[in-house]
Amino acid sequence: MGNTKKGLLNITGLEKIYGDVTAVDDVDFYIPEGSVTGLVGPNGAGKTTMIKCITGFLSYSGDIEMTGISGEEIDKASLGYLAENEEYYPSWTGQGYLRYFAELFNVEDVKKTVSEKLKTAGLYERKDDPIKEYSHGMKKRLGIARTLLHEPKLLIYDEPLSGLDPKIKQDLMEIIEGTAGEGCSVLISSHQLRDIEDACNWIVMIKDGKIDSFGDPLEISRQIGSSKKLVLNIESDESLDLEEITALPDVNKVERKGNTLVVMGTSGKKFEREVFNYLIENDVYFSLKHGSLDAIYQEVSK
Amino acid sequence: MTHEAINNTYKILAKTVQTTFLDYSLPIVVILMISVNIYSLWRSEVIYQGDPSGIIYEPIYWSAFFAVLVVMGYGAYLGAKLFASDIDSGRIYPLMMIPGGRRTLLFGKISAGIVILALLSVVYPVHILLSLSYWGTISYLTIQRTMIYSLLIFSAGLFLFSFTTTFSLLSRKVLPTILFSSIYIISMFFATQFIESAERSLGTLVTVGSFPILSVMYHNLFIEEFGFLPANFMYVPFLGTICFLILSFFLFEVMEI
Repeated sequence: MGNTKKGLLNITGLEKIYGDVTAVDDVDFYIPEGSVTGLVGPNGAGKTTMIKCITGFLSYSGDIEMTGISGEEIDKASLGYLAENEEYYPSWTGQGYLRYFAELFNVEDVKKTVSEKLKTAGLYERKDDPIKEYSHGMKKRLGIARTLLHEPKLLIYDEPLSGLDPKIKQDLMEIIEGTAGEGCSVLISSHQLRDIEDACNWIVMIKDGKIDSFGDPLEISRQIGSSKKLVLNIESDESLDLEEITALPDVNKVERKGNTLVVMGTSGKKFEREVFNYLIENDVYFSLKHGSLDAIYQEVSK
Repeated sequence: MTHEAINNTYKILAKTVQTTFLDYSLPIVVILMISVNIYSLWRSEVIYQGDPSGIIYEPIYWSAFFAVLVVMGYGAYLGAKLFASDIDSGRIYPLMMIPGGRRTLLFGKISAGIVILALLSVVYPVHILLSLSYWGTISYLTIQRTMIYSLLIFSAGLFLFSFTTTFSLLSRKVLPTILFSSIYIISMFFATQFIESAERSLGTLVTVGSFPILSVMYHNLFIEEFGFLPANFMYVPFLGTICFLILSFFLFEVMEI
């Protein structure tokens, strides 16, 4: 896959080998500025290795370039990184922990910045409690608050949602989504696409150390081209002749649940085009449901 | 090093020293050292006679011996806590990304270890001399010997700190690091029984190289009058410390985590 487009972070020919094992194999992709990028792949696909190459914790071959600067020259202070199993100093308070890092990063108004980030993370009320009294979700929020202190250009979160219940996952994703925007991009890894896809406007799919596809969610559907499942949101309430759709070339099965239409077909763009043409010809308003990306991911990660 | 890196080195040093007070480890070690030393002094009949000259060296020797063991243990604890524990728990990741990077972090932590161990070695002569002055007068020789033991305590702590730091960076795990350091300290303790035969069979250089602190103490014990020669052995643990710190520097620079 050629890397012709350029973004905030551009990775070309990235390779990491441990002995006989190639953990990351000749990877090319880029992350657009201001995006929330989801790095998804099954466990052991090479997500953490790739992230650690970007953050400089691992040596690698290939090129990692950020804002025109390559490799070890990349200013690590322009990155905000939260590791997967990061622990904290248990006897420190949440506020003390953030203040320490704010001072290390030479943040101008330490007190004000720390208060702001504590509020962003929803920890202001518990700021004076020792970290050992924080729940797993609160610790993750504290870690996210720490990454925001010095306003980095790229935030990197490695599996921040692992081990959290759905409500906390949602809260955390809202915080993460809110951080992207002006001058700040987010790279978030997960082995569960459905956890992060609503927040992501750029997806990088990885399998066995290789990039399977990357781009915006719709582009990925097109890149793969072999999608066997289309999930559409029918915006009008009109009835559809499911038998007619089933009779279309390359379509195997059609299901409708409320406003959701699920079409199973054989691989190839023809199947997709036939369904879209049929719906347009019959004046059916529809949109491609985001949820269908997860189905594609499930296919890819098999 | 840039101004920013020097600033951050100081901040890491200050916070690390503060943490040893917050987790009560430093106060506990100080109390332990003072208690053991007062006990070893109090046990001596010489002190009851109020004669601090000549024979007083023996209780001071034993107090220094126990202080060395305590500070060696704490040096090992510091090495494991500042490096193996931080790497093992992932706490090292954000610290390695601060302005100044890895080198600043390493200098900050090493400096903190040196400052903490220096504090401990200052505590020793202060409380020993205060205790002795309560029981009797203090001779110049007693002061000199106490100061030399203070230096020995410092070198012992530093040696184990640098030794454990190197092993921390090699193993990156807390448990193997603590086990390895403990085995070293315990084997040194038992080696006191065999140092004479070890020196006969292996030679002084090998024995001093393997257990530098023990060898320094052994040679001090059998010198009637404290002279310059035994102090030469003190260079061995300092030399060992410098070697281990240089090795740690290279290991930390290329460390992949």
